[in-house]
Amino acid sequence: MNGLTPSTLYLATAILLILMGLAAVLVKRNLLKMVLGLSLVDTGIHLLIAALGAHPGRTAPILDDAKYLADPHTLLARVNLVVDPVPQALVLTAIVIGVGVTALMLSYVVRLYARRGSLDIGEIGRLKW
Amino acid sequence: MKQIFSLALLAITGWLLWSLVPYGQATEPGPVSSHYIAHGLQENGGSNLVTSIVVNYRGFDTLGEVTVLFLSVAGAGFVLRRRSGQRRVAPRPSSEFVQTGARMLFAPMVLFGVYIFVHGHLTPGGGFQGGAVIASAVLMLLLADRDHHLPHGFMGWLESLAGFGYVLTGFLGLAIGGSFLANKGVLPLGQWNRLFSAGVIPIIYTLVGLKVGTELSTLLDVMVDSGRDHGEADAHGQKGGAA
Amino acid sequence: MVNPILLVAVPLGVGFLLPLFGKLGRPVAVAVHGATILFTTAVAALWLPGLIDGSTAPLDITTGGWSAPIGITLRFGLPEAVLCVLAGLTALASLAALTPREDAETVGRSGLLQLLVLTGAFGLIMTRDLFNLYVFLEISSIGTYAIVAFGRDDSALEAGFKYMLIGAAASTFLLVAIAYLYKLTGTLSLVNMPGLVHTAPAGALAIVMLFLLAGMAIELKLIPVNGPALDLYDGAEPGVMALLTGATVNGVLFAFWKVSALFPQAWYPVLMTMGMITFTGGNLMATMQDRPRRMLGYSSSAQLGLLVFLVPLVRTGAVPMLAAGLLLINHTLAKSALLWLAGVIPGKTLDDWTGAFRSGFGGRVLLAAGILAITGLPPFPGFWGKWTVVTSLAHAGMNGWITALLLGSLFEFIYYYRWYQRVQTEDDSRTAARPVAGLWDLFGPALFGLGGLVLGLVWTVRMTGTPTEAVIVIAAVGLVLLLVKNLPALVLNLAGLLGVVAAALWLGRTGALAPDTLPGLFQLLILGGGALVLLAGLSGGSGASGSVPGLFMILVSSLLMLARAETLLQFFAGWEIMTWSSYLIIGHGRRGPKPASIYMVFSGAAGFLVLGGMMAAIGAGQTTLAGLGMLTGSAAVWAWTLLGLGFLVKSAAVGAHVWAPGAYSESPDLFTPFLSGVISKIPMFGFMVAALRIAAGNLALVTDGLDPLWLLGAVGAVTAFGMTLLAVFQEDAKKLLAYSSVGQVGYIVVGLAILSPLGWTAALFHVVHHLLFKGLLFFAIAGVIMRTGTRTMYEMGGLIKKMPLSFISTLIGIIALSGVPPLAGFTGKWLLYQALLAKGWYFILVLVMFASVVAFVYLFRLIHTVFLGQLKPQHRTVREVPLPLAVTQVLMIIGTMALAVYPQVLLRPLDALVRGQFQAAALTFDGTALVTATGATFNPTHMMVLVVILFVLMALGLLVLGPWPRKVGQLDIGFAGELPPPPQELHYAANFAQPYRRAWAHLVQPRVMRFWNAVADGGGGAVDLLRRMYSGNGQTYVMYAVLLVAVLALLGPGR
Repeated sequence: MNGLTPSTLYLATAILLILMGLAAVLVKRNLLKMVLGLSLVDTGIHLLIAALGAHPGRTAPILDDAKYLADPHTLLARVNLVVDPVPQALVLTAIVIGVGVTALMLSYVVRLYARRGSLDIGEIGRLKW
Repeated sequence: MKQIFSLALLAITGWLLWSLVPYGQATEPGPVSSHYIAHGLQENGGSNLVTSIVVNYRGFDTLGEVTVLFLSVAGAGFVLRRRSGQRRVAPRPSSEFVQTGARMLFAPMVLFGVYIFVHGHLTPGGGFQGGAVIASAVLMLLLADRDHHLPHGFMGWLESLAGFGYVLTGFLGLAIGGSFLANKGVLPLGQWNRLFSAGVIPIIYTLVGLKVGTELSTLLDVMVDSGRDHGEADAHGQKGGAA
Repeated sequence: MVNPILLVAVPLGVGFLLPLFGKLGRPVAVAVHGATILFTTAVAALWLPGLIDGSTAPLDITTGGWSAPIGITLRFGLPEAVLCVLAGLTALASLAALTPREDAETVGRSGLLQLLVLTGAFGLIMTRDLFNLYVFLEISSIGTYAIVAFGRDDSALEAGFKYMLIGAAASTFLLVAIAYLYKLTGTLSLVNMPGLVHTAPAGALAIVMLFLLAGMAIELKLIPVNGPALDLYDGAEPGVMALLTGATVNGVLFAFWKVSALFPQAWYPVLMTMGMITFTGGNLMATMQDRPRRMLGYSSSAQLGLLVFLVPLVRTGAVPMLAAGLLLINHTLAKSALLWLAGVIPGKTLDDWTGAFRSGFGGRVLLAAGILAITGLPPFPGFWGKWTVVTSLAHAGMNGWITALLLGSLFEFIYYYRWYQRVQTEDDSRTAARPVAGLWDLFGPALFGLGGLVLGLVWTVRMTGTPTEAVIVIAAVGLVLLLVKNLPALVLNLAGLLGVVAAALWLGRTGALAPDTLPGLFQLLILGGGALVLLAGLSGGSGASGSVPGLFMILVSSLLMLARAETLLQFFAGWEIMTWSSYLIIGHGRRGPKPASIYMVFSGAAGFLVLGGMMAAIGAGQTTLAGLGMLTGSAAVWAWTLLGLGFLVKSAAVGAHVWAPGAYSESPDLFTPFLSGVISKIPMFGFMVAALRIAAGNLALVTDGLDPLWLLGAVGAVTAFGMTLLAVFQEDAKKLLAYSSVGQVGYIVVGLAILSPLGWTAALFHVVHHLLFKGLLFFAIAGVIMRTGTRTMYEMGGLIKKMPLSFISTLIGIIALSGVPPLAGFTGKWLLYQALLAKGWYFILVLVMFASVVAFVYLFRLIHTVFLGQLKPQHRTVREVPLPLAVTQVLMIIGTMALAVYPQVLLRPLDALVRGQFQAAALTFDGTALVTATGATFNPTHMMVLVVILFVLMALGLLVLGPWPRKVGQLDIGFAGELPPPPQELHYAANFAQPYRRAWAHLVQPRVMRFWNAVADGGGGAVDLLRRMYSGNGQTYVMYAVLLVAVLALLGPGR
């Protein structure tokens, strides 16, 4: 290990969130708690992606200050000032997708509860083998 | 037993993820992101590079993203479709505080949401963020007045046309710029840090903002609605709070 | 040409507006939806011709104005175009199938979801960006989650939820992998990432690839993470699953193909293993299914596994991409068609399928076509795909993989044909509840069935060359007859007969029918036997109407193709078409479906053994039948063993004989003569042109240790002996003849195994003679069954006066069979014994002679019980057989007698034939006498004259010396020595062979049947245990996903 860098800290937190979420999915029997667990996993993943773009000492990739325009001949100089914007763009997309999936899952839970009268994952196993 | 086994397996996953941590440390940006940082401002005119990526460089992703949201709203509506013969019950009204507060805050929140997506190319935020703020305003309204009904017709039109407008803007890019969703050449890129800059990016983000706002609101409405239905319809004695 | 970006953009734009169109009314929305699909499909299809002939280059499409790696790019080449057209057509047919099924709640709502699912698939197929691929994967997944809620069945909800749970796990793994891949390579574009990925640290890459594979494995429904997908097939509306099969699943597979470029080669064995486990294991577990929809799920999973297995092989160039493409197209066409048809049947269990699609036009034909296609039979594209794959594997020396692949394919046979068996079974109590397929339900299956057939025929010509005109004419007549199957039997059979005669004349003019060549002789037999069956069919009756004549023509054409084959592929293609067409005909018998499906499974096993043998040869560089003679070493041993076993199974040699009695006796009565006379000889033809060529060309094989030829001869002799014993105890006339037929083929095997000119002459003589006399017997019995309505012998009796011609036919038949003078059976036996003596195989000789004696016991009954004795009251009005059947019998009597009086008519061409094969003569002809090389002499003509004179003398003597015959009434008990019926059990002929049973009981215990049953039960029990891993609990399924990660971590190439 290379010491406790900020990246390590972010990544460790992300991994912890992912594992907590997965543990909920694997152990909790309540459908809502499982969905909650998956949301937690989502959050962990988003943090993980963002952490992969993190760079201590650099700021958000928004070039709204005159200093970024100071020397138009060395465009590459900007590269040392801001963090990688790509992971942030990816996180944005991933969040929206996560929202969509969560919404649909919750809809399923509502319908399943109405039909089966239970939120126990063990109760929805009629189809098997 | 099964749970312990599951957790043991999970530990292996955790160990794998932890083994990857050394490879996730801060590095210099690669050639692609360097290009975005170095040339993004010139090529797209927006000072928010994330927005430039989201709307232009990886605009096709974003169209897919909008589709995902659209699909999940349609899917939720499909899954939660009303069963024939299900009666609705009047929910318990919320308190005076919530009702008054919600009405007061609704307009500023919507306005804030619009602000966020209109300035998406300049400041943090954009269509999705702004849309989410608008939807929160609607959620507040729905919670305050649980019999409240959204103007479905209007919202449906807005949603459909905003989505269609997005695709249409993409076609403009194809017709003028030679590539679907192209920005260059369709509109002037304008001046740095001005509201009317960055070509079609603000237009797309506005459409996205409207679409996301209406979609998320519809989604909330569907779910609140179905909660009301099933509170009574389910035969297992779990009344939905109606006294 | 139109920019293919429209494939994504237009449906999205329309999709966003579709809710507004919905306000204008449902027909408008459906029309807009359909028009959009048509438009996109047309856009993709317009690219096809140019991409196929190479005049159009694959197009790289930019988005946002940026090419890769700055922007997201898409690619549109041949695979993309094909997949998009397939997806579009599936979506169109699904719209047709699903729209009428929408209920009041879903009406107008599922259309949007269908359109977006299609769009997701288009994106998945075209995109060349890793993260964009993930986005479209999610669009497809969410579309799937949403649309499976179609219909009222709440098990769909359950399945959908489980599918979402494991899908979320897949997304997690994929996102981790994608994020790190970006971090390690600095790009997301699949255009340049494969070139950069190898620069990443190996330690990181190992783990990243592991997550990528685990995520894709879930999306691809590989074992063990396919549980939710199976539930989905089980619970969701089949029409929805058809859409997902044709669009989403193919999209995911192609996405996997794209990301597979990222995997280092060390991962390839892992990918192949996972794919093959899924193929073989999925098919194995499907054999225990009693719910066809779930069975189709297992099958889909398996087929996908096969394609995953092929991905690394295509990457390394070991297998051509075209082969994988054919398999994929075949699977899409067949599986979607089957799913649409499954949507018509409301119930989920096998019982609900009893007699399905009996009424209504086309349903059953399409179902059969779908099953034939999916089990990889020619002419459908899957056959050519599988053949190419297997030959490629053989060239690469991957024999273990070939074995697993063929084993999985055999399991596939078991459950698909058991399913079809249920469909063919008629149960009149269910008639009222039987659903009828509507026009819209059949749109998709018809479209895809036709597409598969056309593509398959194109490939048939491409791979095996244009068949000769005669084959085309016969097959074409067959197809037409299938379309007009409701015409009277007279018309159908007459048309078929004309077709066969025309083809025979055509072939005769080209000299192809020369009886002194093996192919010529067999073509003569096929055409002659076919003509006789069709001639008899003019009289109508069992197996002469409906789709049987059409199928029969296809069978004849396949046999001609086989007989004319020069390459191994031509032979095997003909073989497999023969298998399925004869299977379908057998299933048309009244109680035929069950024996037919057993026949199909054994034939499938035989086919795969033959294929395996061919692969041993192809691996050694020999692709023609003639080339088999040049095999040496282990390739020769394997080819000989597998081909020989395959031919033995197909000829129902002892051990594999259990399929034969059922298939023979329950097949339509007028078809049985052909089954016994011609089809049972095809494996013998195989021995001669393939298996024995290896032995002949490879003396080491013959001299090394236990002589394999002697072993083959012994198998033949034991078959002849054992089947004769079994025949003795049959009460059912057709079963008796069935065992007898199998036994007779045993004699032929003995003759062939001797591998001497005389042995082959004996065998070939028997091939022809057996066709004549056994055909005659089966036709005679068919006539009796047609008139009396029973096959049980002791229920008949005294028919001699009512059916004199049938009596004469049977009499001549059994004399010919038993091998006593003066008929040609004796000539045949004489030749065989001479050959055995010359070879010195005395054990076999004794066995064969004994079998031939025992045959009297059952032959006697046939004539005595059926035609002599007391006429049953219910048979008093029985008439002689109809004219066409009578003419057929007379023709065969003439043939049998001709061979008896002057066998040289056959022996001379056979002598020329054998001389060509062995460069040595078997016989010399001295006037009418036959002289063997060892000097033994026999004169059949003289013998006939002698016997006739003796009989005339004896008759005269009786007339002169004996008492005058006295007429006795048939009900005179004293005459017949039997009680008038009922009770029939007291009839002297019931349990006629009881005394022999006491003596031989231990020999004829149904041990073999018990063995096969034990195999089925034991295997079934194990498989049943295995499939219980799919416990139905969503949590367990997620655990399997985590388990997969752990297993890959511990066993994968990373650690």
